[in-house]
Amino acid sequence: MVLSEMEWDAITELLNVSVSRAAVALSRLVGKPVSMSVPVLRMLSRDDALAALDGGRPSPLVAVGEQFSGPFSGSALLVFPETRSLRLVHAILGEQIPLEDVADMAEEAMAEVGNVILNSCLSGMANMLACRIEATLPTCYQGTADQIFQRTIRPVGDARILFMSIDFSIRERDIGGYIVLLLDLNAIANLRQAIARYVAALGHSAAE
Amino acid sequence: MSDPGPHAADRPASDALLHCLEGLDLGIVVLDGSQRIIHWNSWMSRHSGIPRRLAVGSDLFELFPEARGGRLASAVRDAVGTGLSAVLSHHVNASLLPLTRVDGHGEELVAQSIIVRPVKTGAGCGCLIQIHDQTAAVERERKLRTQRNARYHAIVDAAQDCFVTIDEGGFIQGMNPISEVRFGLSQDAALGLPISALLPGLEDLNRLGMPLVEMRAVGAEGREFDAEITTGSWISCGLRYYTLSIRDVTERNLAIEELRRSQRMQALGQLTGGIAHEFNNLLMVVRANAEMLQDPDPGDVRSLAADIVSAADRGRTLTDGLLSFARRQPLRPEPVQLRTVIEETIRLAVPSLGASIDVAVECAPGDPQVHADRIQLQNALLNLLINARDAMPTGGRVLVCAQRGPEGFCTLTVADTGMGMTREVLDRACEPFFTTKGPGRGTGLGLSMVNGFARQSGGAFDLDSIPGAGTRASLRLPCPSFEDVSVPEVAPDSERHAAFLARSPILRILIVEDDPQVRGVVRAMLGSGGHAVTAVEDATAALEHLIDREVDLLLADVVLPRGMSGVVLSREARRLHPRLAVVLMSGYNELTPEQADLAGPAEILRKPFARRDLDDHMLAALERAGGG
Repeated sequence: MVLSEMEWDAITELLNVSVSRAAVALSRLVGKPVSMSVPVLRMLSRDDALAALDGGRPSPLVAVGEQFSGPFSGSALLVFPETRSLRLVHAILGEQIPLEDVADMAEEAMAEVGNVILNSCLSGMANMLACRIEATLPTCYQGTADQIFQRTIRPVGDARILFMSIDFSIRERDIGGYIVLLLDLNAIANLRQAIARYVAALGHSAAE
Repeated sequence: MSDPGPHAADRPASDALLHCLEGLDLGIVVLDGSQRIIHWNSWMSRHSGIPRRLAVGSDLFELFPEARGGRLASAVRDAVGTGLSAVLSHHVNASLLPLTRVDGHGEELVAQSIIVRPVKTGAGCGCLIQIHDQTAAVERERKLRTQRNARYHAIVDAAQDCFVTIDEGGFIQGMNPISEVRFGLSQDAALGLPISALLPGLEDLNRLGMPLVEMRAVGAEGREFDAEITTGSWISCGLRYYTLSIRDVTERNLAIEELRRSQRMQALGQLTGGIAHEFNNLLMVVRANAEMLQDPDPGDVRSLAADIVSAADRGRTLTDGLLSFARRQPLRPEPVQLRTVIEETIRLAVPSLGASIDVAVECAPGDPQVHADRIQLQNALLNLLINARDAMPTGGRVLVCAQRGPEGFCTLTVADTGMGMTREVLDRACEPFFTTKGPGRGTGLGLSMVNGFARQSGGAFDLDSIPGAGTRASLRLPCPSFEDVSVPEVAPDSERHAAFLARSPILRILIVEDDPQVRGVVRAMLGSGGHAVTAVEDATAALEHLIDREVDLLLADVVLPRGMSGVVLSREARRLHPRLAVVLMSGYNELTPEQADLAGPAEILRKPFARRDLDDHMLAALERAGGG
């Protein structure tokens, strides 16, 4: 259940690379440089993840979710405080678009930004672990963390959550959000195997 | 056309499916595992100008080199390589595929939303690309938005009221053109500023919830104005915004103030006849007694003089009432003792009410108080008394009654035994400009002002009438809360006064008074105390005197001729003699705050004054100047 230090380092490294890919993809989309912080990674229970999102006080959030399947299946969520989400959309669409029009396009833009970031993470993992991960189209959710989890991450006894805080900045606007990857026990076992192969391959190439 | 299915029995179904793909009103492209096109429907041929026979077998990004390295390319790579799906919206992506549609008017680029999904293609994994034409939707959205915004802008941009939108944190998100003028701030400069920069009263954002607020606003170049603010709130993307409609009501407030004042003046006008009569009576007393004093054998001189003094005191009471009534000042609620107000007002009104009207007062024990503007309350009562008089042309009885209750309020009632009002008249009695009095006898504003005053004070006004039996007007006003209740002033210290007189220092006093009779009288009053008195008639003469002579006390009239008032003289004189004590004599009530500022530390002595008043004020002035 608990990842070893080596495995932990590997997965952190892997997600770090994935997030940098997301930054590149986003900057291509926006046509402006996008900088992203190194993600802070934690393994949490569903309740702890909820608490981490709420910060102790239920507040409105926006999330983009995708379900994925393959050697390890689960759900991926990109979560922002609602206040930040509008800032993000404004940053993506550009400043010249009036406030009322941004609101019209917000959901579509959020879905696409979430799609870019989540797909970067998933494809990064798939590439490094040399496996296929099939994923659905993104869906937007609004509500408190609890309401969003009700619709995306059901309470399953043995599921664990890879919880990442990411900060990035577009057009000098700082945007902080979270990436939530829900993996069931079987998925975690498969992830460990995949990581083990990856680490072995790394060791092998380093030895060469 | 394409490969037949692996099973011959599936063939009709798969043919039908292919026909369906052809007939779809969206672009369908299927790529195989090496990203080569294996299906290209007729919609794609139509909109790209590339026929199927050229497309099938080609690399998509060789057909559209401009899309290489873009978002579509990475979506295709993720779908084929990993199995991920992607959405690409025209809102977010400046350009996707260079597709055009041809209609009667020419060629038009297709606004598109693309969905990329992994799909099994024979043995390997490829991807399905669906291209939705959003051009019509975009056009519709654009039209709707322009329409919506046009309506909004037609109203808001032309409005003479300021519209300012802020977010939950109170930061400005937008403003209309007139706001830029009123607040002297371009929209760009205003964005992100806290609203309290324009409306300091909104430091506390809780006030936003209220439907209508009045507060001071800081306009262009720091010019403040009275703002009346209505707030609408709306939610966008889960965020609450407030749009404030800010109206400059400075002029309206000034007009209301003027109206109040002219109402008071009107009431005064109504009183003039009665007051003139009263004044003539007391002048009669003064004159008759003074003539007797001129007699070679005046008899009991002291008694004659005492009559004159009491007549003068009566006159002073009368002018005090008039002056405080006509004073220009904003509404200032304070704890007011009902008994005092009733007595003062009746004293002022009785001469005008006439002898045929009998006024009685009933006041609840323990001196009930209300929280209201004293002058306005007096004005309201006066209005009610005059209405009562007019309702009783052949005389009658007015009962003024002050009671406690209902809870937290006191009620002041004026009941007459007059002709009363019909239901119709009663219903309209409080409307502005409604009057049953003949032309020139009333403005019709009296009761509407009383009603307005009651509401502004947080109370209510009620009229009750029976035709032929009389009318009862009730004014309900809130009681003062505990902290409002004033502490009664400490009575003047008579011991201190006696001590001053006993010491009786010889002072060098300069009197400045333009009225020769008053000048002579005051000089005589002071001379009898043994002081060294100089009297001049204007400020210039006073300053000349002060330049090279020592003076302990300046006693000057506020109103002086030849361009320099006593107030300015006080300041100039103190420049020459910083420790000079100053007493200003005034026929008016008190100085305005600006005048008081200019005059510096000075005692104000109301004319007419008694010898003792003069001594008191001189003592106080000397103490303030540090010489007492």
